[in-house]
Amino acid sequence: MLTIADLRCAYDDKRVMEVPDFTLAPGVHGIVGLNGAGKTTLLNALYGFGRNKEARVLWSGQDMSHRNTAFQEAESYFHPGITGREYLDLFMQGDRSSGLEGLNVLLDVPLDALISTYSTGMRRKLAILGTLHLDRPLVMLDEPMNGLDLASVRVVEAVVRKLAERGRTMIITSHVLGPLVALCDHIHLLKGGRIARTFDRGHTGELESELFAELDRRTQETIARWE
Amino acid sequence: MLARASRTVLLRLRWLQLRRAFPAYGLVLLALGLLGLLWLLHRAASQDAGLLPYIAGGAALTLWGLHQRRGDHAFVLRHVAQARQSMAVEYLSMLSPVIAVLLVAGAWKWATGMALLVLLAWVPVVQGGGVRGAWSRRWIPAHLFEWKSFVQGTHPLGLFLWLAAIASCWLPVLPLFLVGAITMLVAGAQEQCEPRAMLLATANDARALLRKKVFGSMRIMLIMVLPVIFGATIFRPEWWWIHALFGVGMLVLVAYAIVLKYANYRPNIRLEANGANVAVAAVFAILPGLSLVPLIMLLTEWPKARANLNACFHAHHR
Repeated sequence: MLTIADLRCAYDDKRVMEVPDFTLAPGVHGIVGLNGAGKTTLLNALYGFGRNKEARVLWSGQDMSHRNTAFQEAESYFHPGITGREYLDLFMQGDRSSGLEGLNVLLDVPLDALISTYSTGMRRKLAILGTLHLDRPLVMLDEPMNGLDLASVRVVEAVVRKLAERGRTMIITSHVLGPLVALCDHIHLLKGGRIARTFDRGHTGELESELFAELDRRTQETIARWE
Repeated sequence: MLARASRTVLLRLRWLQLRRAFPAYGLVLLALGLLGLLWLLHRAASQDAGLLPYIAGGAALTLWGLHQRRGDHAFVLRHVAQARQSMAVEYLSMLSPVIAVLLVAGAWKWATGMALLVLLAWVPVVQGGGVRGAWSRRWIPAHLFEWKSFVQGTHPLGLFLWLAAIASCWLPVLPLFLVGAITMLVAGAQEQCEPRAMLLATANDARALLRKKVFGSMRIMLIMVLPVIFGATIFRPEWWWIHALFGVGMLVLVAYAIVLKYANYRPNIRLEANGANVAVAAVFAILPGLSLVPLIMLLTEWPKARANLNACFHAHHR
């Protein structure tokens, strides 16, 4: 159980994120919002970066830290001059019993080649593999589907569901609603740095209506100003 | 409208890069340094004609290495009109000081040979996409990925230098010089900061990370340095203390480079300025009376590295 209390973020004294009180149960949680809504800021703040000192982010009653959390950032960076396998070896130094090694085959990453020769999608898949290999109870993936081909999206979705069934809490952000609707148990709509509403599985129709209504309103306003 | 093709385009580009990289006084110092090098080469060539093949060979190997490793080779071929002629002009300008020295020394044949090296521009470049030193990097622990990167960047040169150091143990200074060169390459590999995810996957806290990195690197350094030091001491037992101090100095130098990196750690950034500090430490490390200085520099940076890493490991406690 992830408990968040009094979480705030500010850039140059301007408050960009505020989560007064929130709880996430095990399962798959989606965070959606338009560009700039604060998805990445929220994940960074949960992980400990750029948040206020008074914030309390607890995992099972204890301070959340990198020991119980795996976080894949939106941009994938790697140390130069190493291969994919060498990168994954770093993330698998502990327990190797999770059975995640088989994922490499499904995602078809050329692990024995230098990462510098990888395409954007390959780099993203390797970053996801690294994050999952850490085998932590809480996994946060920031825009994981960006750059992935259709087959890889299906594999990642299946793995995320399987990990949730094993009791992990998965938090996934996306600026595209489609993949999250089928995947998530709960989808949280982020607006202006606040969690505006939460939609449970089976009620995402309301979310789509709300999100698209806002998009339509914004578009109409913009076009009206343009005219 | 297409720009008029010019064979000096790469030369002008280099001049532009130099002007951007250095202030005016830096360019003056660079020119003075070049003149000093020319004077040294001239003196060497005029005093001992036996050195001419070494001067020419050194220049040829350097140019060969530059040509084979140039990162913009494919770009130049694709986007520069008369690309190979432009590269030839660039190579000729680089060789011209050596050619001038050889001509002044009256070594016409060597000078002509040097001039012919501009034909390297037409020699294909070996693609560098493969994994280098696969056998040796298998023995390097996963958390010492900087060493894997070092092998990728220096193999087979690093291996050649090490074998040359062992093979030249019967000579007085050369083996130590070669070990020093390898150590500087190892220290240079510590300038690149890893991404945050790799940092946090390496250890659970700052102390553990520093110990893993430093002591792991020390083990590899010992494997590299000890055979050379032992070999050199067998041939010159009376220099055992110089060899021992030098060996310890090299270990401290690499440890300092690692700790300095984490004292200034920022994800994904290459800390190029660290090279200057490591160079200063290296000067002290090779001076027997002053080899404590790098150790003091290391001990000074250690708390800074811990504090900086703690900010990454325990960001939520800030």
